[in-house]
Amino acid sequence: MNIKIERAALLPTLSLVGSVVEKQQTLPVLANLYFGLEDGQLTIVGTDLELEISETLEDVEGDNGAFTVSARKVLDICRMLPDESVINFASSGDKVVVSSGRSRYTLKTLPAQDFPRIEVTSFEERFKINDLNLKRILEKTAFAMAIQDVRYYLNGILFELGLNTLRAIATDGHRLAQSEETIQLSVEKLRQLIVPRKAVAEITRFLGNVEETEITVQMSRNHLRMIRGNTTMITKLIDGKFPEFKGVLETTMSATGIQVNRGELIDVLNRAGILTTDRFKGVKLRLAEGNIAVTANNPEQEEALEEISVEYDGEPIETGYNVSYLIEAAKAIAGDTVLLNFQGNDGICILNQPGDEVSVWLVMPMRI
Amino acid sequence: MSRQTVIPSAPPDEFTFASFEPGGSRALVESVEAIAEGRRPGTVLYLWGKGGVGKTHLLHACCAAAGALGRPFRYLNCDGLPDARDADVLPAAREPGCLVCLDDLRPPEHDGALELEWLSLYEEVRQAAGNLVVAASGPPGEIGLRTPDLVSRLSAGGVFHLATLDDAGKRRVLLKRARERGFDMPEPVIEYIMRHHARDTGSLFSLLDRIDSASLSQHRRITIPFLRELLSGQG
Repeated sequence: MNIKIERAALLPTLSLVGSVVEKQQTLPVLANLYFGLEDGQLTIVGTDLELEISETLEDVEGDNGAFTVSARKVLDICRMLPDESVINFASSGDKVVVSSGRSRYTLKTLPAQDFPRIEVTSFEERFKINDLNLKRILEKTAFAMAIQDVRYYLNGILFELGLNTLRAIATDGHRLAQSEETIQLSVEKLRQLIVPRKAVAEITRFLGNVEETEITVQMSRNHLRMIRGNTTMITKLIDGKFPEFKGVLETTMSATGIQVNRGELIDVLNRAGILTTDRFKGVKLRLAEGNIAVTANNPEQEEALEEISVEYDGEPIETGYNVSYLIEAAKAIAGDTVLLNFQGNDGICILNQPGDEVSVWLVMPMRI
Repeated sequence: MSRQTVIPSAPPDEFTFASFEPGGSRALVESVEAIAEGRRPGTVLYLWGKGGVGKTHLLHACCAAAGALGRPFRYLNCDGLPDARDADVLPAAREPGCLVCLDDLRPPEHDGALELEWLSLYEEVRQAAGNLVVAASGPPGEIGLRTPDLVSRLSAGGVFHLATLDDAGKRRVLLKRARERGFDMPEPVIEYIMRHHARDTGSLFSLLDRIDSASLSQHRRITIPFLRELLSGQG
């Protein structure tokens, strides 16, 4: 078979579907991308068996047929060809010749019929969401997911689907982020699904250029599929029970709090963080009348002290936190102001965004 | 040393029949299940065994299963129960088919009349074709009850001894509970615990709690070096 396509049209698709391919695979074919041309429609697919992304390009010249070829090699070749290149793929037997101008690469292929696709027979529920809203809810929450925790259900985002509501919760046990968006969905009972970390990263990539496009989200018991224009992503869901945080969260939604300038808070925390150790990024926040003092110490007995003026006339409170958690939560907030609340004897730090009553960020204290 | 605290979440341990490790007491568990499901109207069951063998777990499981079927039930722990007459036990027991679980039965310290209340509870439950499941540390005649009629009534139903789990059972229950919390306990780690730690279920479960919170706090995998640190008090 033959395919003739402009580099500019092909490269974004290769980068997107190629990002799914793992560096090391359990099956040789998983290192490859699937190329299938049918009546001018070129479909390219990448998979790691748990996550699959496919994209279809329209009006592509060539003859019908399919092959699979190394994702890394074909992506690198396309990336390094000149911008205006037109690329030809000619496959026969177990080889494909990728050529453009005076460049010519002969690559090994594996049969297209050996390329595993994620088969899902039926999707029970579906809703549509604007890509802007999906991007926003992920930006507010995704950073709080755990990384390779032994509790696999923490290595993802919980999507909770209620009547016309999509709620996202992410936590690594030390901090938590929650937000909501309105969607058109009529459900009888709350549905929970945990989307794995890798899929969340791919969704974010997939949403790269926000164009206010509608995304169709479909769900089965074990899978989630998102369709945006010519791009489709299917991911396996994490099978597990997300912890119940209702007790903590019900008391944390707050429209009031100590107002702090967001940029100033992030700068202060970043600077104080210089004197923390890599392992324990602990800083102390001391809240006293009219003032928040941020201090950091390291084993060399060095000390950082930063102060922010705030309106506060309550009792002094001093609590330690991981400085990165505070910075990441403050960064997830939109706008110039952060509302800070300190709760309970432990001093759980709750961050809110003025005017946003459906999002909350929570950072557990650290004993320093 | 710095220690990151973790977000409090609902306790993961669910007292259900599925999470109960029966060991050698499978027949007993089946009887309790049959009672929970209402297949033995009017039956009274008495189970006894040492602390930590799972009596409270079974009683809660029994209530949970009955509740799931829409059956009325009452769980009462005699420890800290000032007076059964204050509670709504007796009126509730009159409800047809009610399941009453009486945990940690022991002779009342100050109020001898309470035993007579239990006796009448026993009668009420039987008359209303309900069930009474009693748990205690010893057989009816050996826990110091002062009302002979109560002792004889409790002895007349099924009296079962709930034996301590053997080591294999303890290994299974550790693994099962760890999985309910969402993590795996590698075999060598379980082996290490069984060799280096007190092996009664109470101690094992409290160790599991420590492992759970320390591994979450430190974002660490559950390995022997991690466990060694935890047990030496550095974790």
